[in-house]
Amino acid sequence: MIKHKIICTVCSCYCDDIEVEVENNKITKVENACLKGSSFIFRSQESQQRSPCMINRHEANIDKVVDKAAELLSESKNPLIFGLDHLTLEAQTKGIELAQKINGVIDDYSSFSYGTLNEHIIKGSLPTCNFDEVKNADLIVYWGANPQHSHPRHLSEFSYYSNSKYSEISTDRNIEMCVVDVRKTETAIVSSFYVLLSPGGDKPFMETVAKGSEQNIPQKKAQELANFLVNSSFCVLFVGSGLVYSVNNDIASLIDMLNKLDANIKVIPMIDQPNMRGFNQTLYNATGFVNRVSFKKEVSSNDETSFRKQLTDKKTDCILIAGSNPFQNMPASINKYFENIPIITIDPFITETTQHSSVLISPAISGLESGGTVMRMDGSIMHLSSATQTDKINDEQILKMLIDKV
Amino acid sequence: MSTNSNEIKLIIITFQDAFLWSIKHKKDEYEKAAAVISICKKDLQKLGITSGQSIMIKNSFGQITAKVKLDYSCCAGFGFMPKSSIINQLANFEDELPNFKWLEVIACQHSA
Repeated sequence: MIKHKIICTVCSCYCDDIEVEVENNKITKVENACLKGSSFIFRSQESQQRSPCMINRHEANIDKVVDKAAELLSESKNPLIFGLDHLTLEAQTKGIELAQKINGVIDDYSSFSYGTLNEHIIKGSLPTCNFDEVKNADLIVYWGANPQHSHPRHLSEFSYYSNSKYSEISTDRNIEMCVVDVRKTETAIVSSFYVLLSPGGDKPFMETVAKGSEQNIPQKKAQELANFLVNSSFCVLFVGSGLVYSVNNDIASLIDMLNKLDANIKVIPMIDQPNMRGFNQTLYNATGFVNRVSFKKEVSSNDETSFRKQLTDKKTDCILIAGSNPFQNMPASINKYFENIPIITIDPFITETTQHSSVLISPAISGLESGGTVMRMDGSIMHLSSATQTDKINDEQILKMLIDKV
Repeated sequence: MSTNSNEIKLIIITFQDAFLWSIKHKKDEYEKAAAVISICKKDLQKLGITSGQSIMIKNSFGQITAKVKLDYSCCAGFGFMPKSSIINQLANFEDELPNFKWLEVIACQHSA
């Protein structure tokens, strides 16, 4: 039996204290991981859960499936590459190179979630900080986020309970945690103060909080939250999908609130997809845009070059989906647009999407069977290692082969 | 959307559930755990059902059946469901974002 310390790759926390025991090249024990992390690791050990390499549902070797994928991409007039949020930074870079070489469009989940927020953070128009700095905060705010389910170890490892000012003895505790949400979530229950908003009420509430220094604020809760924010010496605001969706991706009201409050508030996005921030940063470095990039004629990015529009406007005639399962995670109404389009999928697991694929390419699992680097939700670079051996090649090598063959 | 006398309008807001995530590859268990909607007592009474019974939820994109759970923190007219491929059957893109956080549906008693 060999013990390994690995980084969990399930969410954008990238917990780096996961210990696994390996016997006969199989992980038999997992320590420190949350429910999501441990279920992911054990699932990876079940051979029936792993995807084979296939062409039109017939098993084939890696060279043949890559050849077929390259052929489909080369024949395509409007290829689309989607996903990549679960891939390493190295593989994402190769994905972008591939999109460029085939004059295609590349996009990810941030296109309809955290893209705008991440763009503001990357460009510096929203102040941010890393998890090491969070340990010195005296106020933690979760807005539209329930980390107990989305990022189960977030409170214990990176924010409230791991904070230098936290104490089990309430009188010695010098940190507060506030939650703003439309449900009384598990996170709200353990907070010092929570605001239960009406659904869709985030924008007007932010506008009211922004008036925090003025008198006669009508909403008592907004005044109380404003007091928390203004009186803290260092606040970290974790923005969840509840807020992003409620304001319909219009982050201006959040920026306006932060500017008006004149307090030391840093923002960290509670990104769902593990390496989404890495994808946004990598693509931004390469093109100046965080998502929805078209390499057709010239580099451009707009609504027309989004995954959704490319599909619903029936522009795409071939799609490469890497490490993503849109058939489970997206509105089912979009599924009909996949009909008659060859789907090439790179995924280590059997999913709803792999079952609809013309070509299925099975890679090694990054962080378990292969190394690489990723970017955590706070922008820190994490170095993945492997715990078990495999004869499969990784996402980066697959994408490199495709670049060479198209 | 117009409603009949035994139907009510609801806006569904989806949320993440770690347990559901951990069983997403176990189809039957996943679908059973995902088909649960939390609503308030007032809406439960309007539907003429009790907590634990099933309702039909529908809109122009399709229909699903879900088990009802009473939630005292719920506002009238709103329902909460875990984000899953079940509720995704009724979801759509509204402008650029999917309507996972504001999904208009009609709910009624499940006759089966």
